[in-house]
Amino acid sequence: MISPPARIALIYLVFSAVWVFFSDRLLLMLVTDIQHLAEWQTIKGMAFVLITAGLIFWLLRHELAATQRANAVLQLQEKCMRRITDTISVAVFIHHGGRLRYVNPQAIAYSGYSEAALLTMDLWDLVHPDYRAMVMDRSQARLYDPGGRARYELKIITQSGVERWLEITADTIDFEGIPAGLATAYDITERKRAEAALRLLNQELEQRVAHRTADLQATNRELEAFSYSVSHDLRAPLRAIQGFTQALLEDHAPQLDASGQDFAQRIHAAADRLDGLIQDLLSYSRLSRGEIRLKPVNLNTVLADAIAQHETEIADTAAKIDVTSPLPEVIGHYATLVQMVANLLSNALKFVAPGVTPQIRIWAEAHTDSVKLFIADNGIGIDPAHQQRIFHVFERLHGIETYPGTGIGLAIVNKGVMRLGGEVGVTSALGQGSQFWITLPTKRRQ
Amino acid sequence: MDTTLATLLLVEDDPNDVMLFCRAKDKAKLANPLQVVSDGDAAIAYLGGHGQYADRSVYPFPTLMLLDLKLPRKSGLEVLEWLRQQNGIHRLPVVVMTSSKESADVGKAYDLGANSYLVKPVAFDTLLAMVRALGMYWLILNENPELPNEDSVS
Repeated sequence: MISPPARIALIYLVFSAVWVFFSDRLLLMLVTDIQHLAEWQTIKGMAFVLITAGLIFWLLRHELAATQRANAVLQLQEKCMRRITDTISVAVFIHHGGRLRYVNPQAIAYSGYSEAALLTMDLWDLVHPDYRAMVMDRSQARLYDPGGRARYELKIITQSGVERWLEITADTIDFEGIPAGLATAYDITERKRAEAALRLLNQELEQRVAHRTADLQATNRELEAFSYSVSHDLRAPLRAIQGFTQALLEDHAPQLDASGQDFAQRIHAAADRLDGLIQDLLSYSRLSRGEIRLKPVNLNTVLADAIAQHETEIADTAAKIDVTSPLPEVIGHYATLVQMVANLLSNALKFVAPGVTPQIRIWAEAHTDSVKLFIADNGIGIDPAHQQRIFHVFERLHGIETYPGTGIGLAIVNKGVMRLGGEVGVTSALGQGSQFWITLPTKRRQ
Repeated sequence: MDTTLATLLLVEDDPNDVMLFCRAKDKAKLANPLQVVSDGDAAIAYLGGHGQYADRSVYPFPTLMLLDLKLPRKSGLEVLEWLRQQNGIHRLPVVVMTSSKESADVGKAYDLGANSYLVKPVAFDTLLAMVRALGMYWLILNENPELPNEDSVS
């Protein structure tokens, strides 16, 4: 677009040229009276001056009005911008190579200095010594290379000496005709304080967890030491009681009468039972504290192993065991699973009415993330009233004479299934047999 | 005549267990001579031929050591560790015979070079079966390494 003065000159030029070219011809055509031609010439000259004066006046006024309108819009815009920077809750600093040129009210409020004081200061005079070098480098760098937008967090020190955390967004803008640094900032002191508090809390929590873990580990070590000494020390005298009672019965039976032999046999049997009890307790405690690494386990092998452990009982009772194979794979711990299944089998073999041949059925159901393994028997069954109790340590429903046992077998199953992330349960009624089940995961957790 | 048969060294501090072992050994008709020491230091003295054990005609170097782990003075594991570092005798077959079934003990014993690990049974009949198997396996079937005593005897 051509500028307003050029436009005015151009319009004047075109008008004058048209006037010069056509005015004399027009005059000759209109005026027939040649004597008065000179007078008409003068009138034409006056008309030219008048018309051009009017034209230029009108053109200048028009252009001025346009300029004034533009200036009014600019002023309005500037007022608007100022209103925004005055109202905004973000601090605005404009600096030239660090020296402050403009600050908004929020910047004044954050710093605590007056506007006049601020405009004699460098940006880094406000900044905490830890960040001063960085701000100095960055604001001076903007003098030579505008760079892009940058965001960082720093601390300032207010006039009253208080530290305040700000999040800064820096950029380069044109200010009063020269490239200047723009820094906008908002207060993140609260957030920083909350973060610090959270960090502290986390540290405390971690410390507390570490303490508790250490305590637990200490308790665990004590337990380990306890079961170690039980394993060693309690069983030694038992071996002696058992061994020498047997030696007595073998070597000195003729010297003992019937009741003496009965007594010796009872000592022998009691020692045997005590040994079973200690062994089961140790298994239980090993299961509670031992490290269990979960791996894919083939239930077929587990079952074969568990059945092999009870070979003698199975042969003695002529029990029938019917396994619906193949059984699926689960995620578990082999030795623990064998122990659990062996204990369930042992119960199924043991708790039958006198004269009844144990019949055991074993099968599995596949679910989405788990497998449910069933062990059903034709035994004496369990009164529903007692079904919750039986999974606790030392719970026994029967006298030792009728059904020998330590009362730990099912507790071991329960503890094992807990360690493996499964569940155990039973459906049964008195005289109707029992159907024990355990669920085991088929997918690793996490 | 005894010297032609391999000597067993039993390291065991519980006299009851020693008696029961002897009874089982007799019942199993294991004719091999048995030497018994009752603590870790004595076991090391015996194996090293120190002090009272210097006379190998009375205390022959064993062909097999049965080692309890829980012993007065030095533990069985310490004896085992010491033995495996002794030139000339470090290959002696060692069967650990103890009460503990703790997997840590079992692992440690094997780490230190035990050849077998047996848990002392409570039932005497089981002990008897164990001693029978022990004699059959380690004294008859097993090919034992050359050890100092065999040189002096043969």
